[in-house]
Parts: sequence; structure tokens; C-alpha cells
Amino acid sequence: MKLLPPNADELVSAYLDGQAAPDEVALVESSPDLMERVNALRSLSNLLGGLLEAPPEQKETHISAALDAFDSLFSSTATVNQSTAPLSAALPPAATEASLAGPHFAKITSLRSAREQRRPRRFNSGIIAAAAAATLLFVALASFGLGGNDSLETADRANGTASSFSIASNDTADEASPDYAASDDAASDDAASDNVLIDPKSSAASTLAGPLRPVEALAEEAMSDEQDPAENIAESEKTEVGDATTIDPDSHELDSHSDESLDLVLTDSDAPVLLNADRFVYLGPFPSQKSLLLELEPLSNESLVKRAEPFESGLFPNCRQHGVLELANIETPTLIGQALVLGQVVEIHQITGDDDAITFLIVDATDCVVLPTTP
Amino acid sequence: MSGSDRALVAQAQSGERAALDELLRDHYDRIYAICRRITGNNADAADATQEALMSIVQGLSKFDNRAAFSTWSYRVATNACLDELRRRKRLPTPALVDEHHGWVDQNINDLAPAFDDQLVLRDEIQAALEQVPEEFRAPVILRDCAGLNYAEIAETLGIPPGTVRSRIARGRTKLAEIMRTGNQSPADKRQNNQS
Repeated sequence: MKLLPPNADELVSAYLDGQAAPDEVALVESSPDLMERVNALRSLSNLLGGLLEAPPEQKETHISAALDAFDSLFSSTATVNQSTAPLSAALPPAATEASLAGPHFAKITSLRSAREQRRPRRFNSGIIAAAAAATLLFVALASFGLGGNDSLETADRANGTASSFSIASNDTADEASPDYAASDDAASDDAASDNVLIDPKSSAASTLAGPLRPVEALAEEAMSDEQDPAENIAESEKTEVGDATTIDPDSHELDSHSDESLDLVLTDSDAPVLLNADRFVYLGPFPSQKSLLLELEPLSNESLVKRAEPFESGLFPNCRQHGVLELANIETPTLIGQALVLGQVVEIHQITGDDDAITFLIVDATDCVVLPTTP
Repeated sequence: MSGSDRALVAQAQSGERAALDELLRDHYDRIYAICRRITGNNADAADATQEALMSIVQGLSKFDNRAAFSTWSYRVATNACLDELRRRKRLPTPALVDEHHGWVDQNINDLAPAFDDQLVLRDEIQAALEQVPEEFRAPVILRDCAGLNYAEIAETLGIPPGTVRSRIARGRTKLAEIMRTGNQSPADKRQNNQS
């Protein structure tokens, strides 16, 4: 009888997806039996990936309906603003929501507003106090003076006031709004499995944080739709204050903070760190550039290529790709993430050579220079 | 995100209907395929696809290009599907496995179908997929059908990346088991049980 590792299925699956760590890759490739399983799963995966085509008339109907909704949405928002400026620039959230009063949008609008109000954020402690005081005052005024449909709009505005203290937004995660929660059985199984599978050496994958949306939170959100918006604001602000977090630069605590509001982490040095958790790899604090590079090694070419994005102003503290000497002539996006090295924010760029070999560059986010790989 | 998508998104956000039309057409087939795989039947897939398109239209103004449009739209579609399943409180139609037998009776490794057999195989695999529990099925579909990486799947489903890895593995293993054993005829099953 052939002896296979107890987690053979997972090894094989991760290998197939390019998500296996180097030692796992070596293990799989050294075993003909495991490679046989890889080939089997690949066949299955290819079959699964085949497109199932919709009837052409259904496609036309669906797209036509969506375009009609777009027409009515855009015309009504244009009416609200008396402007043809882009929706994203021209409309405050409340006006956008108010314009979506049609049958398709009423339910979605309500949930989204509630979620936005309730999304926890992390603040500098001084700012928290100021924001909380200002918000409480605002809530008190709002609860006395406003009501009915206006309350929703007011709630959004109030939320916007508080949000102005936040450094980063998390719109994409919110837009996706994953309304998914696993069964208890599956969750406990997975938890057990995770204990085995997440190797501290390969925490790169595990720190690609996304929103956690436990089923209790979903239920709470659903119920909150029927609450007084003023109550929601107060509750939201309480959450924000309560969730302020300081990350110890000497530890990899980020995993334990994996929720949708990983947009701002405070370090011991009080230097705010932007975390675009929905797109970038955040690898936490490191004692040296070299140790960071070691952490990057398990990341596969496939996952990196998919994550590389154009360097856009505002997403990170300072540099642009073309402002970094070593990256200036590279046209494809190179930025894949960021980390803290000795408390300093650095950006991680990848360059793929002609032979598909990957080189990582660690860029000082303040001076936009490539750091040496030795301490 | 492709430059083409990015430009189309910008135009659609400015109110250009034609840009949205092109964007939706470009991604419709993949969105529908994801919905079909997740919901397990045409009717629910059609409803979920429609919901997904509406949500995309509604959310487009807030979409900020931090993720690829394709990734974002697949997430929206997945959520629409999961909502659809919850709303209808019903599981996908059980596969009529007894109607299919013979082609995977040895080993999944023997899968090397001729091209004209692939359509049949797709039906078979869909039938098997519907027997995989939802919590394992969704990540497998997002990986193999939508091409999302583990981090994106984690974000879409609201579960940690390590959990994504284990669920995909378990989902695939379950699927392979069903493909190996589930498509036997009742007579074959009886014979196997007796032996």
C-alpha cells in the first residue's frame, strides 16, 4: 500500500493552484503518486472551468434590463445633482442611495447604508476622542431635529463626517459585500485544519486579509435595518472607538485582526500604515529586508502576477512606480504589497525577468528608493 | 484589470450606456457560468445572474478600480448566487446520478475525454458538483470557474485564506469521490455493497 502524507489532498490541491509552499512543492514533485493526483485534479479542474453558456435570448434580456436600470439610475442621479459629472465624483453617498428608490434597489440600499454605518474603523487615539465627541454632539442634534426618510441621508452624512478622520476607505470590500457564512461544522473543521495548514513561514497567504462576516453579524445587520438610524450612528461610533488597535511591530499579529477594516493599523511609532487589504499583500513587521524577502519566497508567480497593480497616487503614502529608478522603465504593474521593516513602511515590487524568474524589490515608501537586501 | 475594462468602467461611470453594455457583454458568460455552477440549475442561475447585473449597475459608481472589474463582478455574482440559495431555502436539485454510469468506473486519472465527450462530461461534473456541500462548492467554483486566487476567494466568501485552501481541497476531493463512485448504476452499487 502506498503511503501518502495525511494532508495529501490539500497538498495536491494547493500545488495545482500554485499556492503550495516551496517545501510542499518539493514534496509533491518528489512523489509520483502525488503527481498522479495532481494530474487527476487538473483534469477535473479543467472540466469545471468550462463555460456553461446561457441561452442567447436570456443574455439579451438580462443585459437590456440592466441597461434600463442604469438609465433610470443615471437620469435620477443627474436630476438630483443637476450635473453630468461622474457619479462617483458628483454624488454624496446619501444622494446616491436616495436616488435608488426603485423596486430593484430599495432592499440593497438599506443594507448597504447600515453596513457603512456599522463598519468598524481604527483611529489614532487622539482623533478617536475628537471624532467621538463631535459625533455624539451631532447625533444628539440629529435625534432631536431629524426623522423619516431624511434620517437615512443624515446618517450617511454623519458617517461621512466621522469617516473624514479615517485615512483609508474600503469601498471595494464593501461593494462586494460578501454575505456568506459557513456552517458551524464546516467552520470548526476548517479551524482545526487551519491550525495544521498555516505555516508561520508561509504567513504571506494568511495575511491576505479579507472581510470576516460571521453569521451573527449578518443577523445583527439585518435587524439593524429596522432600527432608528440615529441609533445606528451611535452604535457605529461605539464600535469604531472600541476597535482602535495598536499592532506590535515585533509580532505578526495581523492575522488576528483579519476583518474588513484592515485599512488602518497604528504602529508603536504612531506611523499610520495604509492597508489595502482587498488587493495588496500585507506581510506585517520584519526585522530586516532580508527576512521580508524570505517571507516572499513562498508566493507563487501566478498569485503575484494577478495581484500586481498599477501604482496609483493615494493608495500608498508616497511613491509612484515610475518614480522609482529601478522600476521607471517597466510598463507592467509591479506593486504587490507592503510591509513594515523596522517600523518603516516599505513597498514590495516584483519584476518578472525574460526567463520568468521573479525578483523582489523592497522600496522605501518615504524616499522611493530600493532598499538593500542586507540589513 | 485590463486597460479595456478600466476604460469602459470609467466611461460607464460617466454615464455612457454603450460602455456599460460592452462591459456587461464581455463578462456575462463567465458570470452566468459561475451562477450556474453555484446554484445548480438554470432557473436559479438566471435569477442570480440578473440580480448580479443589477448589483453591478448599482455599485458601479462606487467601484474604484482597486480590484479588477472581472474580480469584482465575480464576487458580486457569487454573493447574488448565495443570496439566491438562501432566499429560496433549497438545495440544488439532486443529481440524477443513476442516469450516468460507466465512464469513471476506474479512476479519475483516466479522464482524457475526446472533445465531443466533453459536453457530456460537463453535465456529469455539474451533477457531481451539486452534491458537494455549498461551503466547499463555492470556493472550488470561484477558483476553477472564476479563476480567483485564494486571497480573492477569501475576501469574497469572508473566510480566512487558510480556510479557502482547506475548503478547496476538501471540495475537490469530495467531487472526485463522487465522480468515482456516484455515477454507478444501482446494480453496480448493490454489487459493490455486497462485495
